Amino acid sequence: MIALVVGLILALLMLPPLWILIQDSVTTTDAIGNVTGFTFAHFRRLVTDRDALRSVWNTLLFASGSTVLSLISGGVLAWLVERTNAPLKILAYLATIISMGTPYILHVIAWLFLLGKVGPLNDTYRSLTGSSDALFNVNSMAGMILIEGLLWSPLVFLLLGATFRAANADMEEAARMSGASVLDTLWRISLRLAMPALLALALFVFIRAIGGFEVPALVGMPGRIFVLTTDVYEATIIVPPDLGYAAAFSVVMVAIVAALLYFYGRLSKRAERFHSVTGKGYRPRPFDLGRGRWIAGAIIVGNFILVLALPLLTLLWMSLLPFLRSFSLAGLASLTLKNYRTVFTTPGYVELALNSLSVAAGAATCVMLLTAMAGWIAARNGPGGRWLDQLATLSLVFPGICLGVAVMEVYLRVPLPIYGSLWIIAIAYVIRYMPFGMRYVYAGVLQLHHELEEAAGVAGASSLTTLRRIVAPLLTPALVAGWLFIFLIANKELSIAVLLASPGAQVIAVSIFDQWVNGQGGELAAFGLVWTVLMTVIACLFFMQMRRGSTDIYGN
Amino acid sequence: MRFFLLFATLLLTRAACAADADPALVAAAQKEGQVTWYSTLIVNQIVRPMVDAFSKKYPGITVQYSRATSSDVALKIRNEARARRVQADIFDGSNTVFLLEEANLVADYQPKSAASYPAELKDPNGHWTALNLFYWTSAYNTNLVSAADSPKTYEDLLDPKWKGKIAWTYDLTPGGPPGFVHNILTMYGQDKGMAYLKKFAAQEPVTIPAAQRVVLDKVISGEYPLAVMILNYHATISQKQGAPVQWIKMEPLLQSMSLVSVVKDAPHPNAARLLVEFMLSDEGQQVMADNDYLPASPAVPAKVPGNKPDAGHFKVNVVSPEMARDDNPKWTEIYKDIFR
Amino acid sequence: MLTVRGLTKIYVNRYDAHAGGVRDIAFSLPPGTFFTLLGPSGCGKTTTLRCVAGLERPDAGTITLGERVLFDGAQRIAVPMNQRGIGMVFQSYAIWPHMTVFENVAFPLRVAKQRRYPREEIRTLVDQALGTVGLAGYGDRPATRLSGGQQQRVALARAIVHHPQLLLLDEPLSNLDATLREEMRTELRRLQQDIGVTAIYVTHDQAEALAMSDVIAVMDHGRIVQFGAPRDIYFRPENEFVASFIGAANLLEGATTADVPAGGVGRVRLDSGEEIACTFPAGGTSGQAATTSIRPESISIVTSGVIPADGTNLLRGTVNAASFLGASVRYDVQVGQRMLRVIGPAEQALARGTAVSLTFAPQTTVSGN
Repeated sequence: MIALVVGLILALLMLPPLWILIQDSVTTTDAIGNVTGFTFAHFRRLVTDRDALRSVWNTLLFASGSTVLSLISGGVLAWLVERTNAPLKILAYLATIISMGTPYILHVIAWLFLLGKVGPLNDTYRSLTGSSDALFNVNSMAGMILIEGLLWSPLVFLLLGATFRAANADMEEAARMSGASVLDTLWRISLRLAMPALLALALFVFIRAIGGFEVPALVGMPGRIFVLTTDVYEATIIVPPDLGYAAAFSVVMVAIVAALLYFYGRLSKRAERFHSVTGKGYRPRPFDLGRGRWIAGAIIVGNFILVLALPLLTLLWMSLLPFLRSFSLAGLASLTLKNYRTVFTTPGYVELALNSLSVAAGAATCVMLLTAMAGWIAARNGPGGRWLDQLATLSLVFPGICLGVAVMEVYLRVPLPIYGSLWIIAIAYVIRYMPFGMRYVYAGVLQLHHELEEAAGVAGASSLTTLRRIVAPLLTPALVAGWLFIFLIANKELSIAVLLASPGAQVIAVSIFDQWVNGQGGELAAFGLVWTVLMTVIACLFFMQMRRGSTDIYGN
Repeated sequence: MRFFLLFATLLLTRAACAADADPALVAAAQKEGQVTWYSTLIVNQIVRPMVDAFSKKYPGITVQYSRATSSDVALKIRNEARARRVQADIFDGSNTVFLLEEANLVADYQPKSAASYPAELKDPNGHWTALNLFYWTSAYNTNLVSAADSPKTYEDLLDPKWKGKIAWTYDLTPGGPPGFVHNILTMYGQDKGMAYLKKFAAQEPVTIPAAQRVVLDKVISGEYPLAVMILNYHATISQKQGAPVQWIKMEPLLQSMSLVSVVKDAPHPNAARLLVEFMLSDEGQQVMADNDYLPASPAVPAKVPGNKPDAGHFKVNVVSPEMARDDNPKWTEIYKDIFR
Repeated sequence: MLTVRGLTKIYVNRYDAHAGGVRDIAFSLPPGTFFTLLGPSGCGKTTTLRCVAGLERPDAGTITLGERVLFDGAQRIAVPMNQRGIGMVFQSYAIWPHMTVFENVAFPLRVAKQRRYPREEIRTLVDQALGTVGLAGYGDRPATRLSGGQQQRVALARAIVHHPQLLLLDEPLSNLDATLREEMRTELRRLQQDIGVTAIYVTHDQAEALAMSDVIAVMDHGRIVQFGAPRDIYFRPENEFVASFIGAANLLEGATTADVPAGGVGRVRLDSGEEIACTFPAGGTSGQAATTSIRPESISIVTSGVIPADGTNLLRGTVNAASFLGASVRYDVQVGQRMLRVIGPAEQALARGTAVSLTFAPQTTVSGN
C-alpha cells in the first residue's frame, strides 16, 4: 500500500520529464508550443551540423580534462590528509566545508577575475615582461578545465578521503615491513587497492562535468567554446525557442549519461567488494613522511589558498569596489561599503534569500519524506522495492540543464499554476535530488538490524506505524544528513533553476547569474559573500551530523 | 540649504504642473496594489531609482522588477502565456515588443502623458511608446589607450593592433551586433559595407555573453581596451565614479530607443498603466535625466547635454522601431553569417 | 493449541535453484508446551518460526492457533503479523534504542488495534511484565544503557506484556556468555511455566534444547527428522543425523544378523567383524545394513584384560588422545580402523598408547536399518 502510493508519486514526478524530452525531440511545434507533427529533423541536424559535433567533442574534452585535474588535486590532498602525518590538515577540511556552502557560480566568477585579462595572474605577467598581452586566456578550453577541475576538487577530497580512511592499514604496513618505501607502498599497494573506488569516482565526476553548466556558460561562451549544456541553453533562450533542437540535444546527453551510469554502477559495485574485504572501524596509522611533512604541508596550504582563500578574497575585493578593477593601490583608495548597504537595505535581497532557503528546505523535506519510505522498502526488498529504487534514481540521467528544459516543458503544458512560481523550481529540485535521498536512506536502513522492525510488527504495529515509530526515529541521523546535503546543493546549483526561475520566483544561484550577465558584479559579490557565510554555518551543521551519525557522504 | 529648498520647491511645482494621472486610474491601481516590470534597463542605474520615485508618489503600490535581455524578457512572457499564468504587467526593450506582437501578447494603450511626444516616438496602435533614447558608440579604457591612439573612425577599428581586443555584446538587438551591421551597411552601402564587416570579423571581436553594460565594465576593468556598441551615457555614469573610460564620437552614432509596453491581459492592468504613465510623464522622464539616462520626452533635457546629438554635435543614424521590427532579423542573419 | 500442517516455504535464489526453506512441517502443541526446534544452521528452524510469526509467508500449509486460522495456503488466508497477537523475542533482542525500557515494553499495548489500553492499565501491565522478568524499577532507563542480559529480559517483557497465547523465541540466549546463558535457561523455563504460555524455542544448542523443552523437533534440510520428548531424542535417536547432532555419538556401520521386533534387542555384525547387541527402536530386518550409535558417556573405559559382565558389549582398542576436561576425561580410542569417543571418569588417567577395553550395555546401544 505504501509502496503503491510512493510509487505513484515517484512515477508522476519522474516519468513526465523524460517523456516530454523524447516527445519534443521528435516533433515540431507551432509558435505557442503546440505539437504539430512528427520529425527526425532535430536529430538530423545534430548529426550533420558541424557545430553540434564540435560541441560533443568539446564536452568530452572538457569533462575528461576536469575529471583528471580534480582527481589529481583532490586525490593527493585526500591521501595526505587521511593517511599521512602532514601538518595543517584542518585547512583542507575548512576549505571543503566552506566550498560545500558556496554556490559554484561564485567560485567561477572569482576565478574568471583572477585568471582574466586583468586579473593578478596576467597583471603580474605584464608588469614582469612589459608585454601588453595576456599570458593566459581564461576563456579557453584550458581555462574551463582548470576552473571546473578546481570546482570538483573538494568533493573528490571528501569521497576519496572516505575510501582512504576505510582502507586496511595492515596491507600497507605489511608492505612497509617487507621493505617498501612510502612511495613504493603508495604506488604498489594503496593506489591499487583504491583503484576501483578511484575509477568509480572518476566516472562520477566525469558524468557531473558533462552536465556542468556554470563554467561552460560563464567561461566557455565568451570564448565561443560551446559544449552540449550551453547548446541546450542557447537553443532554449532564443526567440522563438528552438525546443526541438534543445530536446534532441538533451536526449543525446541523457543517453550518454545513462550509458556511463550503467558502467558506474558496475564499477562501484566492484569498489564496494574491495571495500568489504578491507577492515573497518579503526583508524589506520598514518604514514610518517619525515622531512616530506613540510612539503605536504605546503601542498595543503597551496590547495587551501587556491580553492578557498583566493576566490573569497577576490569576491571581497569585488564587493568593496564601486566598479570592477584589478587589484591595485588605486583601487584600494576607492573601496566602499556601498554594495553591502544596498544588499542589506534592498528588500529584494531579503526576499530572494528567503525564497531560496524555503525552496531548498521544502525540496529537501519532500525528498527525504519520499525516500524514507521508498528507500526503506527498497533496502528491505519489500514489494515493488526494485521498481521504487529504479524510479527514484531515474533522474540521475538528467544533466541539470536538460532537466530544466524538461520540467519547464512539462509544466508549461500542465494546466496548473506552477510555471512562474517557486513550485516549479521546488519540483525540479525534488526530481533531481531524489537519488541522493535514496542513497542516504538506503545506507541508513542497511545499518539497522531488521529485527528492530520485525519486533514492532510482531508486537502488533502496522507497517506505517513501524515506519513512523521505529524506522524514522532510528534513521534520523541519515535523514538529517541527507536533508542538509540536499539543502546545501540545492542552494548551490545553477543549471536546474536557470530556465525555471522567473522574476517573481527567483533563487540565489540564478539571481547571481543574472546579475553577472547584467553587470552588477559588486552587488553580487557582496551578496554572495553574505550568503556564503550563512551557508557555511549550515555546512558545518552537516559535517557535525556526519561525524555524530558516522554516516558517509553520498554525493552520487 | 536655501539652495536645496529652492530646488525642492521647483521640483514640487514641476510635479504639480505635470499632468497628474487620472484619479480613477490611481484608485484602481492602488486597489491592485502591485505591478511587475520586466526590464532590459540596468537595475542599479535606472530601474531602482524609477521604482523608488514611483513608490514615493504612489505608496500603496509595490513594484516588482527584473532585468534581462530583450529576447529573455520576450521568452519569459511567451512562456507565461503558454502556461496561462502571465505575471508581467509591463516590459521594455528595443525590440521586445515585436517579439511578442505576433503572439498577440501586447495591449493597445496610448499613454496620456506621451500625448506631446513626436509621432516617431509612439506606435499609432498604442503597442509601444519610447521610454528613453540610446546612442550606441565605442569606448576605450583611458589607462590602456591614450586619446591620441584611440580609434576615431570605423576605419580605425580595422587597425591590426586591435585584433582580438574589441569587445561587444551577444545581445541580438539593434543595440548589439545587428545594429552595428545596419550602421555599417547604411554608411558604406551594401558592397563596401559587407567588405568592411568581413574585415571587422577578421579582427576577431570578442563576444561577451552579457549586456552592453557588462561589456563596458570589462573595458573599465581593463580586460579589453576597446568596446563597440556601448551606450555613451553609461560611460558618463562610470566616469563620474572615477572609472578610466571615455566614449568616442565615432560618427555616425546609432540611435535607437527603449520602448515601453503594457502586457495584454496583464494581471494588474491599472497599475501597469499607471506605472507607464508615470515613467513617460515629465516627472518620470526627469528621473531618467537625473540618473544620466537620456529622456525620450522632448520636454525634459538631458543632464549632460553633450550626450545628445544637438548639444554633443554628433551625427546619428536612427533605427526606428519599425526598422527594429522589420529589419533586425535580416541584420541578425548577416551577423550570424559573417561572425560565426 | 497450536497446530501446523503441511507448512512449506521454499526459497529460490536467482538461478532458480533450491536455496533452503522448509517442507511439509507438521506439529501440534497442547497449551503450555515448551517446544523446541533444534537443528544446525540452515535446517529451516528459523524459517518455521518466522512462518508462525507471520514474518514469512509460507507457500502452502495451515497454521491454527486455538480456534483462529492464522494461515491457510489453500484458502488464501494470511493474518498479518501485527494481528496475530503473538509475542516474540529476537536473537538480537531488537530493543529500540530510541525509547526507554518502559516505552519498549509498552509498545505492543500502544499499537494494539483490538482495544485501546488506558494509560493506567498500560502502566500496570508494563510494571507487571518488568516485575516478571526481574527488572522492576528499570522503566525509566534509556534502552541503550542496559547489559546484554538486561536487554534480553526487556525483550522478554515486551513479548509477554500483552499476554499472548504463543511466545516465539529465536535463539534468545546465543548472544550471552556461558554462565549467564545457563542462568537464563532456568529462568526462561520457570517464567514460561509460571505464565503458562505455549512457547516455540529455536536453537542449535542441543544442551539448551534438552534442558528446557517439553517437546523437541530436530530438523534437518527443511524437514522434521525426529519429534519427541528430550529423553527420547537423546537416548533413542531415530536416525544417524539425530544421533550425531544431539551429542557427538559414536556411529558404527554393520548389518543386522536376524529380524528384530520394534523395541527389541538384536545383534549387529559390525563391518570390522565384531558382533554387538543393540536395541532396535524401530525394529530390524535380517541382513540389512544398520547404523549403530553409542553415546560417549555410555561407554566404560578400563585397562585391557578386564572381563565384561555377561551380555555387555566389548570392544578393544588403544588410547589415541586424551583431554582432561575437569569433570571428566575425553578419550579418542582407536578401535580397528575406527576412532571412538569415550568419556571417562576424571580420577582415572590413561596415557596415549594404553591398551583399553570399552564396554557398553545393549540398552544404551541403539541401532536401526
